[in-house]
Amino acid sequence: MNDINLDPRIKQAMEKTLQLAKSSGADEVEVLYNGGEQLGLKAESGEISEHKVSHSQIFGVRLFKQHKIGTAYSEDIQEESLQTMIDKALTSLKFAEDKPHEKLQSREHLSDVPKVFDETPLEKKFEMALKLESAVKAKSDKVKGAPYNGISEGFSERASMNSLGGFCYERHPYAQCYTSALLEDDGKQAMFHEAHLARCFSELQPEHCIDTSVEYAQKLLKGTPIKSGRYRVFFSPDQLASLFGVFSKMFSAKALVEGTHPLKDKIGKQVASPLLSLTDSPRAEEALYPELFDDEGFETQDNALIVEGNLNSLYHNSATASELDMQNTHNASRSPKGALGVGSTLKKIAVGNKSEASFKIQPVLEIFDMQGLHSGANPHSGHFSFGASGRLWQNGEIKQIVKGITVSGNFYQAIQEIEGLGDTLYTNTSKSFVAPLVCFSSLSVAGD
Amino acid sequence: MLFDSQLAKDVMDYALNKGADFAELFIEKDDKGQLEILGSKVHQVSGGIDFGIGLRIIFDTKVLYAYTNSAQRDVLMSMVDKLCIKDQKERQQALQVLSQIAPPENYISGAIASTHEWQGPIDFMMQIDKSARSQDKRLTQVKLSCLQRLQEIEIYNSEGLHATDQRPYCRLMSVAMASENGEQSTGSQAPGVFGHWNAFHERYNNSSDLAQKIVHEAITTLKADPCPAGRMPVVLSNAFGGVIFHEACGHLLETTSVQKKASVFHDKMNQQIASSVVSAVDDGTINGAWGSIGLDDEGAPAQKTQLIKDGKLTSFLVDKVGALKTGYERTGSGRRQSYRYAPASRMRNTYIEAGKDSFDDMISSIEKGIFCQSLGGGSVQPGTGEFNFAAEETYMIENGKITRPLKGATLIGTGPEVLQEISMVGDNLELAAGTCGSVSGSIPVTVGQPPIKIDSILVGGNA
Repeated sequence: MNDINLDPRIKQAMEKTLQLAKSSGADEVEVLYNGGEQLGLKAESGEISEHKVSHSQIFGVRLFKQHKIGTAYSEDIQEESLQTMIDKALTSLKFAEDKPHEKLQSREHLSDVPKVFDETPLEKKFEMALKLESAVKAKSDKVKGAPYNGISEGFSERASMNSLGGFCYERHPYAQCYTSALLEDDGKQAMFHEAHLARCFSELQPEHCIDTSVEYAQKLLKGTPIKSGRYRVFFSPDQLASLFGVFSKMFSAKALVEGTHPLKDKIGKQVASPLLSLTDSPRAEEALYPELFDDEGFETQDNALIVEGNLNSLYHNSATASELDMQNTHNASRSPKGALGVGSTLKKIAVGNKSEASFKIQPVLEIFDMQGLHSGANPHSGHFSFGASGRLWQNGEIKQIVKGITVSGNFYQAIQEIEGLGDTLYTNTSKSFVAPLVCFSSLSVAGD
Repeated sequence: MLFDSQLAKDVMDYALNKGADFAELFIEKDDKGQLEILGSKVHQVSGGIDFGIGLRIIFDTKVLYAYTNSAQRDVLMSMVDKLCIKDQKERQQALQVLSQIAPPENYISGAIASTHEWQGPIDFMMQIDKSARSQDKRLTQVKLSCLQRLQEIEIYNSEGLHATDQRPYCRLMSVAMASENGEQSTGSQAPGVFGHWNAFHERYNNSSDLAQKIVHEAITTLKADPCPAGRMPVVLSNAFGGVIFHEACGHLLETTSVQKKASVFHDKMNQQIASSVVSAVDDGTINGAWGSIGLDDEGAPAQKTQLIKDGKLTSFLVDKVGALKTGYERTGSGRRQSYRYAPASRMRNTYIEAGKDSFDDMISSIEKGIFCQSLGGGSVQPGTGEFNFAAEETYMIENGKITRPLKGATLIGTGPEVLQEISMVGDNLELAAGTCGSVSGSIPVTVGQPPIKIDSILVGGNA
């Protein structure tokens, strides 16, 4: 993993793809490569139960011919497979509609992200995987198991090359450790997961995962439902990130072009409390890595999506910007398997000015775990209803650990009813969201 | 044949030479295509070929797994070296002579054909689009897409197995979006078959019916009242209503959780875990059903597995490692999304069997509760049995009658609790296609049930 240059075999295969596409009749062509290597270790009953290594590669091609665009991908980079991929993309052109706004960009960018390499011996990695399990079990005699735990590390890389001479490349190493604590007491069970993500193995904090998973599972063992009703609610950084992630379609210019945007009549208008300002911030220092260029090769920049409650901007690529006659925000996103789209980088909510203690005088529910995010939300209507766990605060103290409830509401209404923002910023586990405590004035809770 | 059998033998022999007890190669070629209709036009056509090799080596019960997109000898041998670096010992096993296993010849509905037959799907989806748009002016958009796959697999293992299978899949996703006075709503359907487009079209040939269903759900939920919150009786519709059994029970019966004692049912074999009206099966052999397989992803023939009989736990879902760790017989349930995942015990077509109660009797037995006509997905934490699933098209039941539509809500509970709360099981079983995500990736599964009545469950509506 010590060579940050793109493998010459991959570069040659990309060049071959351009050549084959041109000779097959494409006007212009772009080839995208994603690849990486990974090591994964899991422990069970004091032994390494799973040891996984992988090496992956995928090519995706985007062909342009007379305003039509065809895409296809292949995980095999032998010449025969590359030709099959091009043939598939050409076949898809027969059915494709004209896309006059989608044009190839001639950009060049090589990542200058600091190189973070790790020489930790494999033995140490095995030791950490085993420790994640054994330390959780040793924390309390109520721990029944640590069923999901382990480490993973590796790198991911991406490159794009096109027939206009454009070429972009970057590689990011990463490491992760995670654990879960399953506790049982008096016939009741509770489980909590925690993970930590870093640039390299030596930066991992296994103690954080061990302590947090056991601490929260212990809390949940005492959890009971609260009375059904409307509550002031705030979410932990991970849960708040998930909530904004589920409804991120409200920032998609592609959804606006396609007629599926949930707030299409409110672009440029007030959609949230004036307290809320949210920026897509690709180069934020809190990110695992700054994102220096988007998937069309444009240099990234801050994008002020919500300014004091106003839906100020959307995620644009060159095609949506051209079609809607708006400015490109350099949020292009494309994977080898997909079409050109838009995507977020790191989202950051501007800090407020209230002390966190001030939110906890009157009863307020803190949600630190949610279930059913993939199914309990409708990004189009804004309605959501999730299983949840957390704790009820009052007079600055924890009044009750809460479990077995649901929290429901309408996201687009809830962001209009923000009561206040805390004065400290937090970053979520995946380092993709930074926010202060955001207190929603009234969400529906079903419990007892 | 996707892979050179001599190379397979050499790789497995190399692994056994390092002292492994078992070695397996899973070779996959997956030809996928997807076509999307948006705004009454073909919006997007995409597709490609996944190709890769998964290598599994087992020492005792320890699983080592590697995958790569390269079929080159040196790459595969180097993967064996990397995997065995900590476990190498004297040779324990001899490589068995390979004998070929193929799935039953008649398990696929329809002949194998090219996966990229698009004109038929385009014509059918345009009919749905036209029909849907003509039904209500409050419709703002209709989005349709058709997925076609042909997954070819080849499995070799050191116990002498050489298996091949071809798995065609076709699924049509349709969504209607509606808007009125600032309110937005959606209605969706996603039928799928284990077979090609022709098999799909034989089973689902009524475009007006599909259009009517998505428009009805979108318009009904547009004008719906908030769903009440709290514990109450609930009637779940047949077909996708079966997601409750999938989440509340099915995942807890997979040896993937049972072997770690991370399932609340791990020590409940032959015990009463559900109400006596509940009998449930997981059947991988249903002709043309979305979750069917001829062979599982470890080369074992698919089976019909009786999970619960009259409320009593009768079987777990068992894969090879699950059998090694628990001692239960394999049930042909080793499944994986692709070569990127080691197989794990997973569901196939899972359903509650038909009972004797009528739907009308269920409704008339409830003074105040809800009826869930259309359900979304869900999830479960096997260690605690806590599950959730989403109700989408929902109605109020008042004084024994279905009255007004309600906005959707999440229903939550724990598996052991809710299985005891099922008091009535209807007589009209139906299945529905879904996608299940778990440790070995996302796989096609079917859920199903006749309508059922749950006496008490927590509904996460508007308090």
